[in-house]
Amino acid sequence: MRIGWRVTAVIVVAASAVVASILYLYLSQPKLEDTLVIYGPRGITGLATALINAFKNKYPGVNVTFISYGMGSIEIANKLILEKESPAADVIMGLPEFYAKVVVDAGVLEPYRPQTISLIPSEEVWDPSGTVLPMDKGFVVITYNSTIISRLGLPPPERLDDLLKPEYRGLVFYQDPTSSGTGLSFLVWVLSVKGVDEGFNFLKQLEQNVKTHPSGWTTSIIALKSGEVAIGSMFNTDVGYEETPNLTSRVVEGFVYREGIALVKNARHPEVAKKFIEFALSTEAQNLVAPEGYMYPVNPMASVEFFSYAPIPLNKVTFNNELAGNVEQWLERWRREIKTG
Amino acid sequence: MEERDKNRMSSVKKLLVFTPFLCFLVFFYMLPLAFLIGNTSLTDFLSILGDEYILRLLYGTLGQALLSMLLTLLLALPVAFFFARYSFKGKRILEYVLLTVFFIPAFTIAEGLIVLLGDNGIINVFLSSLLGTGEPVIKILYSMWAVVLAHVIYYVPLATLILEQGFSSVDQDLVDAARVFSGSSLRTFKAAYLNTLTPYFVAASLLVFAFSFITYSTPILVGGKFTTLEVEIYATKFRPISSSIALMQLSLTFLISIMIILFREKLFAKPSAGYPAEEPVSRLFSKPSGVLLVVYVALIYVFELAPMAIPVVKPFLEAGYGSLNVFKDLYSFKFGFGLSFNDIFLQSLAIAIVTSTVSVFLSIVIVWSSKILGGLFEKTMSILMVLPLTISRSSLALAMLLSYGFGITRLYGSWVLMVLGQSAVIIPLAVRVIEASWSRVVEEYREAANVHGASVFFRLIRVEIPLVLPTLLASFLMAFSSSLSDFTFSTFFSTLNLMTLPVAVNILIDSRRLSLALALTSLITMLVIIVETLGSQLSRERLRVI
Amino acid sequence: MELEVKDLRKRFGEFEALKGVSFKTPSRKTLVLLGPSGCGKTTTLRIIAGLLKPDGGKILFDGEDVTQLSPRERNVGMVFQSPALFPNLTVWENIAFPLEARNRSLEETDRRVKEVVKLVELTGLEKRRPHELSRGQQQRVAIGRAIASEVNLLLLDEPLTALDTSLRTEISEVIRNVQRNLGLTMIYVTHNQVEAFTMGDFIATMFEGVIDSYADAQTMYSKPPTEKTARFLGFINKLEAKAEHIDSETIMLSSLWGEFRLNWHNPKLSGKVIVLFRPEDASISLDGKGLLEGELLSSVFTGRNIVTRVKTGQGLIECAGNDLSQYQEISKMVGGRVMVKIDLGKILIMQAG
Repeated sequence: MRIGWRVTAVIVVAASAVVASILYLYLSQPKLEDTLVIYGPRGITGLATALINAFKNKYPGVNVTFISYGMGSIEIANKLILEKESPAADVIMGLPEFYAKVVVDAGVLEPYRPQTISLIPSEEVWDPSGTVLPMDKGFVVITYNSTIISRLGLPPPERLDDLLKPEYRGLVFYQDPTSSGTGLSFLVWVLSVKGVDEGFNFLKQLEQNVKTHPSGWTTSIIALKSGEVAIGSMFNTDVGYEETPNLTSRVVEGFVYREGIALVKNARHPEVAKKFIEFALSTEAQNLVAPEGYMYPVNPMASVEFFSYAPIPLNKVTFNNELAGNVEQWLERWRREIKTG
Repeated sequence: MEERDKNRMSSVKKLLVFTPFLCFLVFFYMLPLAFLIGNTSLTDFLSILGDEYILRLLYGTLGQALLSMLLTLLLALPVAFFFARYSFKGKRILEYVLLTVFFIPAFTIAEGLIVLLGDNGIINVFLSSLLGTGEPVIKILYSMWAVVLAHVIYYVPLATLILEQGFSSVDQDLVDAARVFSGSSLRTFKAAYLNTLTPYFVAASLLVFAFSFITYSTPILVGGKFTTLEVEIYATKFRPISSSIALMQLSLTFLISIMIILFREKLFAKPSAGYPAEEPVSRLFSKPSGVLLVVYVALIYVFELAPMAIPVVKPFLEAGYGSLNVFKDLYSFKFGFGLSFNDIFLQSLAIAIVTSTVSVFLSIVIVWSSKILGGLFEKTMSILMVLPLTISRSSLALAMLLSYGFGITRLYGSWVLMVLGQSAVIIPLAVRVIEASWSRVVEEYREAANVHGASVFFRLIRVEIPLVLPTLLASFLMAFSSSLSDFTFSTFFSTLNLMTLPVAVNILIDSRRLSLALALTSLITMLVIIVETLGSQLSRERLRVI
Repeated sequence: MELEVKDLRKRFGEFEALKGVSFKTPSRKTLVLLGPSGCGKTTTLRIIAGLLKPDGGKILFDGEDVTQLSPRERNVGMVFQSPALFPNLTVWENIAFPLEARNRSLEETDRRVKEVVKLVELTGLEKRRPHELSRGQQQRVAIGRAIASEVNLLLLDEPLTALDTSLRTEISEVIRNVQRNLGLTMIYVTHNQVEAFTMGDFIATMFEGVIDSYADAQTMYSKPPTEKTARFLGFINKLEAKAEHIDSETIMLSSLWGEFRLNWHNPKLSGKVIVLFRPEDASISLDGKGLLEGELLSSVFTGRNIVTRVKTGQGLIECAGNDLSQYQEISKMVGGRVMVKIDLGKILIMQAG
């Protein structure tokens, strides 16, 4: 059947373009084979990748994949709960302390006691049920751009309450807790210290000084760099970060953000999963925590040389366990009362 | 009496030809909708109706849509009248320029407003130095009014186009008779214009209202604390409440679609007998009201073009940057998690190519099958395709997330999902455009082809497609630029490994790197303008929105 | 191929377009369907082509029932009023269309198209597109396309109607040429009598969804079978008379205006009859001798002839048989009594009632 040359040309060009595009898209995506599947928030992608590579070196022939779906820690945890009947994951990493109870109560985790837990000091083990094992921790502190603050002749902020000072108007930021783990930690910090209602009152007042709520850590760094904001919640390891050399903190007080790793119930590859968790707490693996991110290892034998520059807060606030299980409501409330209030 | 027998085909064959369209409806809309419904319960749904926060959002969304509609229509009327009644050199170019505002991405306008109306924006700097105050004078940015303003700027061209058609279809004889027989010009207006104009007025109002109602990127960028239902669906997307809000939003947009369909019939009633004669524009200058009209139109042009031109032009004029440094910065910018500008650009391009091809291909199949079936089938399909034009995109995105992202398939994070979402909103438009061209061009050759031995397929390849080829290409380009500018599905479906240009813009704005955001927006906008200009040269059916 | 149409019926909603149409066309001959607009001739043609399905009746090609077949399967060619050439294809490709549609080989297509191009005299124009051709050339292409795939039946729907007079002769030549060369059976639809008689071997007149008369062209011209057809074909003057047989070859016509002996080959004719004749066969007498007497009402010079109207005892008679040179003389007679001459050799006599 004769086809006109014009139509033929169009078909050929279109087909080539489409095939090329699909090939490109296909090749630029990570492939999911039948591997050990680790769920975790996007924020720990770097650490997860490093751990996986080290694990694969140790156990060659094993396939491991980290999946975050671009989600935050709460969301990926919720996803795990949703998949209770037929879990896709074998291990979950980056599970925040203040959300662990919800996940444990949902019955999607399997208690497991790796041998390497003996390397971890008891005060770092924060899950009483022994289901979620500690993996790393970080300190959320109040940071400020020293250049801008001194240029404006303002006193540097030290505590949460300082943030309400009228002279800081338009200089303050903290991340949107619905999209940022750092922001969520800040929220939990405030609520842990002041209680829920008082805490939200505080945040409402704070809004007068807030310039913006960046969607995440990356966008916060960029905003700090451009000088749009000067005071806000960041991790202590961000102090003196090469991109933001003027960022510093009085570290009078700070919030201890703790994350864990756990075995998924009815995992498809339980043996390999256990091995991975074992490995995650080992000194070899814990040595990777500091270089790969902004958090500290829980294994005291692991190196923290990398963060020797970072100040540790004097007063360390930990999560108030009585508040466990309410994160969703807080996020909803924050969105309604603070973001759009 | 040129009747054609459509009932030649057996019912079985008819059903077979109808299947592709059915599959399209099911996979693109109905299945996702089913998942959306399944993800919420009646109690959940009813509870949001009593939720004070949600109701506040609903009223706010409705309110700004109403305001946008009223202001848009008001501003557009004189301009439409001007274009319909007066002729002058370069009129077509002027019309085209005005229309450009409508097909550039919405976020371009938003950013233009940020530059114009920010605390340190052009207008405030000018006014505060003029008035000698240290404070910014105009503070409407990051509020509902900024959203309304953006809508008005964005939709005046569309309203002008529709109203202009209305003015042009007024019977000249009627106008003359009215002038002769009635005393006042108000009476003339009523007698001659009102009846003919009304359906066009209503059509324009409905469309502007509908589009303003489902506004998404604008409130995100310039709304500040003001937010709409559409945005709320996105903000709560991984939480149960989102499904209920989405269902509510879908019901509302469905109602609006029904109204548009009802009016569609009225709009295409009998065309008038005599076309109004166009007078030369010089006649306007003879009376003061005429001069006022010309000045008004000029002001509208400034109003429309400034917010669009600024994001495009500013990066090239940045003082202290040289002309292209900002683009170098953009190119080397680290978007986080190892993504570079290159990756994002290529991904956007690839997704746009696939989306456009899929959309045009499916549109051809749908139009072709509707033409073969004819009769009631063709009418029904035509009406059904109007429904998704003003569908709530956030709701659809959420529905697709639930059904294909995490449901029957685990496509979240895959480009397939993004192509699916974007195609779902592009195909209805493409079908309208292709169908118009098909009717105009193809029908008369059907019988000649049939009698001379052409099978349905042979006729399609040898006669029909070659004849509509320019329109197909125009549709492809239209789909391409829509995909590049898509904000909703991009933000819903993007992950670390899958990011498109509009999301990159959002990241830049979020990080307060406005100059880079403008640079990227400038690139996207220029690309879209080029593509759309090419498209408009190929086919005139492109602008048939209704 | 012999075409037979049996009792075709077709309704469009409430309107009955065809009320039982039947006719036969012998092989290799041209049948013209002649009738006024809206009589159903085009509908009939489209049903034969397969573009419409009849509500009742049959179409037979060489005795085979093709009523249920699609247009494609019937292998007919059709020429429309407007050429409907595919604008994206060249002349060559347009003509080749039916062959390609039926999957003929390239060589065969090539050969056949060359033949057809020669036949319709379009050699040299093969690479042109329809918009680059004159109207006449376009219609030639349409004809070529219609016959390209060795059809047995050619259908033409008023192919000359949209053409200028000068082109009509040209194209009708082409059509006749084609038919002669290929020995096609042709069905030709028109409302134009001149065309009908030029093109047709047989003519069927059609009024309001029914075939009225069917005869070969010559007979149809000189002796149309029914009054309706006769009037349509120009026998607009009508007189009443009585007929009586003298013998098998001769009758005696008696009327108010006299008695005449005529040769007439219809032994069944007797009693009351009507006499029909064309205006061209009647003229105003200049020497006072004629058959009818009446008052000359008007005399009009049309450029081609002189048309006069005479009021007789039997009604209005229109005459157009006078020579142009007689105009002045006849004009002077307007208002007065005149005699009308009738060419008795050309009259039609039919049974009244």
